[in-house]
Amino acid sequence: MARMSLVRSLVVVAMLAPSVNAMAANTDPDWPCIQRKVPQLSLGQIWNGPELPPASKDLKDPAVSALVEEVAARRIPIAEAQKKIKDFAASLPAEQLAPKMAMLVQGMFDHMDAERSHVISGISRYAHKQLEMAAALRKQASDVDALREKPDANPDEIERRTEQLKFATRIFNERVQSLTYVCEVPTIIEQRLYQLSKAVSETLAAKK
Amino acid sequence: MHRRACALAILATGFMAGPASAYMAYVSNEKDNTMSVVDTTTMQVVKTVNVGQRPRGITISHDGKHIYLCASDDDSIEVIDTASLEIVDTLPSGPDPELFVLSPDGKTLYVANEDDNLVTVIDIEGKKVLAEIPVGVEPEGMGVSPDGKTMVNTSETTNMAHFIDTSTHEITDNVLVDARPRFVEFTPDGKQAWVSAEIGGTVSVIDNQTREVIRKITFEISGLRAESIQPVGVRITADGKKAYVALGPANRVAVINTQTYEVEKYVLVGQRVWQLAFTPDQKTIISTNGVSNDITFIDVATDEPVQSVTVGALPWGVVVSPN
Repeated sequence: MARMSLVRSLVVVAMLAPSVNAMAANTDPDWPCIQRKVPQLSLGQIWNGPELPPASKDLKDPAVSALVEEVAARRIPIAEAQKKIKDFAASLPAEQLAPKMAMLVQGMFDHMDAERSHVISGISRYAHKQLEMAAALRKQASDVDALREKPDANPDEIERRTEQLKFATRIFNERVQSLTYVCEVPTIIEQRLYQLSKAVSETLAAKK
Repeated sequence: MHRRACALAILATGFMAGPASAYMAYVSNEKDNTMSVVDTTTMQVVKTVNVGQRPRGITISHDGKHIYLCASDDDSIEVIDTASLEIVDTLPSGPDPELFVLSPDGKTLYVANEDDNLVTVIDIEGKKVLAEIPVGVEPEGMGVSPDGKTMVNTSETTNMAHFIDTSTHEITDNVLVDARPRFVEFTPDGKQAWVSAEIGGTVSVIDNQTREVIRKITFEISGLRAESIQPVGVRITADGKKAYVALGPANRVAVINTQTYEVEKYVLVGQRVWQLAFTPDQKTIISTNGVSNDITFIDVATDEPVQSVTVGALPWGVVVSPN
């Protein structure tokens, strides 16, 4: 019996964890992270340079769009990505530097902001699934409880269901753990975007 | 040989041109429970010190010998010796100390206890609590007038600046400001208290005589949504002419003319700018940038960012040694 209540209290603790975080920092009840939910970034947060021409919105330059894809990928170390930007700037004729760099900043912003929004909606879905799993666990736990109360219950059956419950609880808890990492991802993208934009600013400042 | 002599000469001039004094800046890193020690001349981290959990508010004794640091999750204030960089003592602080201010005579710390709606008054030498003053919900910002007679606390949820008489420890005035007031800074002549409001996005200038808001400063940056402009740390130059306001996720520091109350410049520094500190010669102001994990040195004469230096995770507060 003592073991049983241990399992149940584990479930309760695990279920509480994400919702407490959500209440602490946000108004969206489905948002599970301690970090504040900021669905979208604005360009002004990363860019202080010259106004970006509207034309830089349509990324027609294949070299620039290829570079955006390349530097946005988080598997490439940031220093390497910054170097790619500087090398690209160095390869441009002087009169093309400003327009191409504007295109690059706009392209990186659009690409990485979209990626970040995608991650954020993914987190919400994950959190929702977590709530459903919590409800299922609660039911499973009370079913096992009910079974134990029955005088004619099969001890093997109780043992089997208890093991199942423990296993499901473990999966749930591991998902809670991964959530703390997943919640960092929007910030990691934001940090990277800022560092990349800084590299662009530096190429422009160098030519002044 | 000739080239080497030349390089040496350049090196020597470099040294001559640099500021003569070496101050140390101490930065609390909220997320990795450390304090970074940064030489303000070389602009390099010289040491990283392990401290208590969730370090936030940080200040230094007037003689520069001790750093006081709010270890928020340890419910205490740590005293760090600046010579050995070791924690030599702790002070009682009440639960969850976030921010504090040192009295002008250097003897008393006024601490905001976020969790239990109190301001705790601590006698540093006697290491004891002198008073606990009930204030509004979620006390946060703390400021003290240059004459030491008035202390101001802001409460985040009540949206008020509470003016407290430091001799009686009683609230004398409550001034309503904008949503989530975070920080209080007095002008050097003691005539005004500047209070930032994080969610309201404003800075209220309060007359210390009449205790009324005489001016509300707003901020506007093209290409930025209004909600990302969140004023937090405020610092005013010793000559009282310029004010610097950290604007949180706007990633900028606003430079304000204190005569006209106009914003003259927005300096892009790093991500989520939180607190600010001047070097004692007032030539440089340093910002902590929580999300980009760095601090930025801004030249006060030109208001240009000079350099950013990576510190620990989530830098929160900064203080510079007085000598």
